Amino acid sequence: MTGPQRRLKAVHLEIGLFLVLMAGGLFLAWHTSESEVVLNTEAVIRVGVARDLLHGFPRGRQGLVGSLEWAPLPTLLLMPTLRLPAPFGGDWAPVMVALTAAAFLSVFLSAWLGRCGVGRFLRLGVSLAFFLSPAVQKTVLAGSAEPIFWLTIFATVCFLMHWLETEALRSLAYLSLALALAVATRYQAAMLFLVTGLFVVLHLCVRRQRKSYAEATLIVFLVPGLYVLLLWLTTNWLIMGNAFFFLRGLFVEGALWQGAGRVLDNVEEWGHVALLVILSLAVWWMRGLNRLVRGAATVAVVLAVCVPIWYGPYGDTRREERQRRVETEAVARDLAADYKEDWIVYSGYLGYEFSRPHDEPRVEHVYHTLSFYLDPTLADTRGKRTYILAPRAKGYGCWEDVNLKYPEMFSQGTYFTVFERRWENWQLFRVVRMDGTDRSYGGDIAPRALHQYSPRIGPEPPEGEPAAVEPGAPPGPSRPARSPRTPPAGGIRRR
Amino acid sequence: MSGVPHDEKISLEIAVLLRRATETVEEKLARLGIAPEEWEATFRLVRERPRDCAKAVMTRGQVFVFALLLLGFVCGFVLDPLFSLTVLNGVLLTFYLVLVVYKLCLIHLSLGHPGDLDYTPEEVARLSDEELPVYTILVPLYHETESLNRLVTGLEGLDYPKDKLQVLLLLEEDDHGTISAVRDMPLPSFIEPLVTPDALPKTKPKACNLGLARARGEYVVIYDAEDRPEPDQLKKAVLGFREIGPDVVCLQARLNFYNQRQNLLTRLFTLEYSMWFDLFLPGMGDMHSPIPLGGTSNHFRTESLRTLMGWDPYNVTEDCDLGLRLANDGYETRMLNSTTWEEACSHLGYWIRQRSRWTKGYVQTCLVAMRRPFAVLRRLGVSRALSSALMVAGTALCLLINPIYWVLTLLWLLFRWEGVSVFFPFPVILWGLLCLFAGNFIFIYAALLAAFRRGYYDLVKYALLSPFYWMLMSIGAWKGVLQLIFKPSYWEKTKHGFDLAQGYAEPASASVKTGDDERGVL
Repeated sequence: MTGPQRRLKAVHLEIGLFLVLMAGGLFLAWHTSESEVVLNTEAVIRVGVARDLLHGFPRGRQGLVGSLEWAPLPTLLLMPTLRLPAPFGGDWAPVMVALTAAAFLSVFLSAWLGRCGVGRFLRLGVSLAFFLSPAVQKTVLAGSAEPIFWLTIFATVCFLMHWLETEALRSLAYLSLALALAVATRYQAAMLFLVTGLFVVLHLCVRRQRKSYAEATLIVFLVPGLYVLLLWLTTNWLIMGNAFFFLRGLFVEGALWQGAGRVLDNVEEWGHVALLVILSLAVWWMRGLNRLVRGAATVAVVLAVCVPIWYGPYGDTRREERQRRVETEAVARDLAADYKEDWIVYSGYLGYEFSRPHDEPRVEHVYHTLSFYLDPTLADTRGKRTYILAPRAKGYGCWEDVNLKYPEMFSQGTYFTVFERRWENWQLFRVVRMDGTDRSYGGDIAPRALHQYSPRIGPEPPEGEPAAVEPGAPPGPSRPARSPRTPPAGGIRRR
Repeated sequence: MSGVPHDEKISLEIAVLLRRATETVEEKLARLGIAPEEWEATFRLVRERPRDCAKAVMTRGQVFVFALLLLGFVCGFVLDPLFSLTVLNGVLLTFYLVLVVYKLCLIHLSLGHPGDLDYTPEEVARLSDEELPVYTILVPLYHETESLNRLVTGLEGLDYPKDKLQVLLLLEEDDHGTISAVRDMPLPSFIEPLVTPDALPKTKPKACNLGLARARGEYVVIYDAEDRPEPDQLKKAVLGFREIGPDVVCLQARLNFYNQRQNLLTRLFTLEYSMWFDLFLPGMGDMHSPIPLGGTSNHFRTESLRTLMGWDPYNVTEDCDLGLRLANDGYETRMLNSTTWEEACSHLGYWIRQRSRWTKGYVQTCLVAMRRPFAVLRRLGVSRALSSALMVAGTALCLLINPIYWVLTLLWLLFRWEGVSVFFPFPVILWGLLCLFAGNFIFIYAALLAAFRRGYYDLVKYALLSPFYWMLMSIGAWKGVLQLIFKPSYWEKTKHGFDLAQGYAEPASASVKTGDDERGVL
């Protein structure tokens, strides 16, 4: 058999494996979920963001490049499938994307093992065992972006090892592109970028390559990753006004290195990546051993990796997701029943929990804003009772802008709110209007001092609508609620 | 005539001119030593396959179809301008995306396992002089007096038995300077001048056809005046032709520049050439798709080339046209891993003229190919037809529409002009952003990889300046398209010899390293 024929046969085998894994994975997902998909919070957020993108939602705080139009890779991958019917689209879209990534990763794993001399049956067995492991299936069923991240990291490691041995240009290019995709998937990968860069520099130093070659190698290696990092930073600056916004959190108070440490603090995710890396490194290094020893060692390594992948401490996150969803639905139901005449303002990514079941960009009487800006929000919701729905500052909740701006909001409220209602992870606060347009207070709550605040909040009302009431003036008639389809003056702040 | 008085000398020259102006074609051919059948062979394609010739820019059928399309668009624009422009925008952006994906595939193939024919010096050395066939080299010359010495030295330096070489210097009758320089020069016996009669169209392919008619070699190759082929290139081509089947009638050697570092323009030009010849064409060769030939260093089987009726004398990128035509006729082209070093045009004005000719020729070639689109599809198959269309039409179209999108992007970024946004509804905006963020990056990165692969490590960083170079390319492209309307067969001559003062030598490591690793990671 000639070289090209062998190559073609290998490609056919890999395509066949991919198709089998996709079909099997889809069947498993459908069967396990009983036709109902329970996405994790991250997937819900990504679906929400992708839907906003598809609806052409707003253009970003700075008004330059659209705020969401350069979304992370998993969100971009969701978009083509979002409008397809189940089980290929809709709420299944993240599951399909995760499934495709997991299947591709399993095929990559098989091909890599084959490259390292592992026999066909063993490598097929390993890739099947990996694909069917609870860890992978759990992330697939939750629609997580983790399989994409694992895939990029695994590819990075494989291409790095290949390049270290051969200095092949294609491996160097794919190494840097895989890293760039990893960074585009999760910004945590920036750390990996640094580590890999260190390997490349060390290799160049050890090999004592001439200066022009080393410089060119570094440029080829750095350009894709730096480009994606630049896009990340630019997007953060455009949306949040701070290029390093993504490293902020309640518990880090803006310290970058602490932020970086915090985002790496996800043992489960890194554990899986580490296992894959160990496997790829081990089989690569074992190529030099004689056939018998290599066979035994390969089986040992495969077992050493597969057992923790199968029996690792994963926790029943699917149950947690179900509980969270039950609570979210209860909150949405209560809000719809008891506050349908009022504005409910919620901020941040977790707000997508409420708009998730609908393909509409906005939900009746709900005002969703990614970045929480009080004044324009109050201006936009003027004339009605307004409530702020704040998530508990835990997990994703601590990243929400309302908690970043008002860290005590959940525990004790703020100077302009009154506690209204509590659920386990959410609290509702009524906003105390300073301009008197909210007549729910009847003039007895707004303290005198508040009148010293800006006499008119927000832009001039459109012609034919009542002007904002001057401080101290008797309350006028309420403004009618805006149509949910019509963006309020000042624009909907939504990402 | 040094002893002849000045007035008498002028009178003599006028008499010669008058005589030449009134002489018949037969007289002219006899005076230049050209047999009538040789002259007839020059225009055989025009006579026998007029539909494959670019003499008429468009056929009546094409004019009708284009008019119909234009009318459809105008009607759409009148009825609903926003919708029409949005659809057009969507179509163009889809084309961009397809082009990006296609070129990514070519790069992947090329870096992995290019279909180049490659021979080691040992394999070349094993060839004995006796078994080598006669090889004809065609060298079209026009206003190339400065390059003559270097040319002859280069030809003498070729590693091929001189008694089996036939070099034809193809001169133009009205190029008195080069003709007299050739006459004054002691030429080796294997080099013979051949003067092409002064007749329209005055193009390089017409001269090459005349040379082909006179060629007596089993194989024939074209070199430009300033070319410096690797000495063993002819032998490698012979090995290549022997190894492959008779369907492969052309071997295209890689082209690159010896004066890459002359100025910024030559650096960027070198990156473009490296990308074209070291990444894209080998990838196309691996896909067995028609290869748009480069201007020189195409080696042919002489008889097959005669069957193909040579080059189209009216096409200003006759090489590209021939590459597609031979694929249409069921033949194949393969890449040969041997480099010919050329002079990169270092003068911006001449560079733009050269680029305008290339784009004009690409459009001409597309128009010729589109005269029988279904026949092309049937002969080549969908994937090969699409591949050649993307490479030729795609390259030209890309250069033409780029400036429109740059202006739109600038208007949007700087002024946030809402007039731009309305043409980019979802998902068109997504296409546009993919092209903006991913497409542009991929082309820059490809240039970077090409420089690295060629071993121009110091030029890698210049790839980051590619967008500025693209602007120049678009200027040249627009000039070419406008010229197609007014002077379709006008040959924009590229002036050579700007490098002579610096005396550049070709790099020591001539051939590109092919196939980083046959198997790669996967």
